[in-house]
Amino acid sequence: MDSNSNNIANRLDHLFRHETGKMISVISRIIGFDKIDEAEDIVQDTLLKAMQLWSMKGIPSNPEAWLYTVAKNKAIDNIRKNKNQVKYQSEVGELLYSEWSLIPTVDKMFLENEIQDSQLRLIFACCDKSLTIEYQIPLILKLIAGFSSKEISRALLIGEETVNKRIYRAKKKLAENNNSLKVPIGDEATERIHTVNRVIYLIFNEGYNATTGDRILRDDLCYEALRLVELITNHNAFNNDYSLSLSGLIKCHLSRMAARFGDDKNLITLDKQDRRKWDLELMNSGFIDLQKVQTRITNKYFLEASISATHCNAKSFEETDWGMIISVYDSLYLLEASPYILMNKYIALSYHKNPETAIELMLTLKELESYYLYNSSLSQLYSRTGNINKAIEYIEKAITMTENKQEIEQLTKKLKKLSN
Amino acid sequence: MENYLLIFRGGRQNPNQTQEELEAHMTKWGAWMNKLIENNQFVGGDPLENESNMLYKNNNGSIATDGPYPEGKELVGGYVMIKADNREKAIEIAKGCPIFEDEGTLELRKTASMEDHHK
Repeated sequence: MDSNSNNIANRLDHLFRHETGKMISVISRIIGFDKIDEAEDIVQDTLLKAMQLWSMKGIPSNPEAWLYTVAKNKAIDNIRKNKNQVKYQSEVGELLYSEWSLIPTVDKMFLENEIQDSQLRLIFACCDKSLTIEYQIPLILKLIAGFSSKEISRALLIGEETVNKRIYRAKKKLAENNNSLKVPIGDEATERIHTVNRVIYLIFNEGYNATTGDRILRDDLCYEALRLVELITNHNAFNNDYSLSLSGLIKCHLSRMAARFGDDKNLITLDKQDRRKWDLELMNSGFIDLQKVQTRITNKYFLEASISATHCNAKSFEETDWGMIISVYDSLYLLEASPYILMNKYIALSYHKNPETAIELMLTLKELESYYLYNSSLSQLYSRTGNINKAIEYIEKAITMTENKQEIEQLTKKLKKLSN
Repeated sequence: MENYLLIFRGGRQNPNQTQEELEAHMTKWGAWMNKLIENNQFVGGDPLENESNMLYKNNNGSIATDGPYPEGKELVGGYVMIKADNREKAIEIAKGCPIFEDEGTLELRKTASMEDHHK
């Protein structure tokens, strides 16, 4: 592929990912959740048409509008073709049968405020109580975040076939329950928001922590997560301390994202990041979210956000308030006694006190011995103490513990540096 | 609530109308339909294509399909089913129809329930 069509392919991936969820939400709201497969087909057809036309004629000046127009028309065609054979169970179902009301109804649902509403409804529908979380998450990733089955499989560390089975069964279950994309209220809403938050968190992590694959794809996932959490926090009835904290967390991370990667596409460590590249406006918006939060100590999202915010508040790496970060890790450990939390705490301790102290504590984390990141972190700690032999030993260990090509590449580079 | 059928006759626009005239026409009708929908008065209906087949039984007993065709002002252009509390209210709703601006006419009929015939 020449660079021009590669460029177009990248832009399209970005655009499609962003708009897929929106279009599926709107169309399934128009024709009913029981017809979600048709909604997906209509959207897929729209994207296919876009790809075909745009690769010949170039991307139009308003690609979103183009997509929505085509999707709208395809939906209308679909309804005209099927209306005499099916029953529409959606909230506007009755208005789809008449030529007087068909187009105005579809038009209305494609208005901006209705699109937002549709997405919320679809998110809630996917978090229905009749589904366990193993079914809810793949479903949301597919229908709302625009993930492919392959990407979901990578994100959740389950096989692609399992992903497809779960999505199929989840849809079937929801259709059986005559899910009419109603908005939940009261306790039911609170329960669903918890699931929604968890899914958004997962989506964000997939984008933020992944070191593999297309950079644009990864960024898209992060911004997608931000977009989804804002759907919740912008809605008075559904906003709560957990969503706000998650929003703060995402914004604090995202505000520093531009500095994480160099021109050579390699990950730059925090100590070497150019803090002038930070997005202060987004960061401030994150701080504002966090200030509003009242439930803190038992709120995992808030705690993680505080760590990120502490980094945000440091003008330089040397000025980082490591003491604060360590105490937050302690609070996190109270919520969940995980060795990964201890590992991160010890790394913070290496800056707060010294790497020798950290190494001593790290070596007690026997459970993490086959985790590549544990080994590469130890390598770095040894390197900081000047013990190059140990540093090399642990990098070599780390390389054997991951199958991820990009990670191996980066670790090998480090090894080369150490060996010189 | 009862169902009333509104039958639109005539009021067909000049085939040489400008794009502007056509759009204005569509906007008028769209607005009226939207109002019916918003007021929860709309039940159904469709506009109709012009091609008309008139069927009748001819002298030899077969069914003919060739006319006589309705004149312009008799041609039914479409129909809408609305619901209203009573005939008076239905008529009020019907008075707002853009067909009158188009120089057409509207016939209002209430749907019959079959029980009426068994009294």
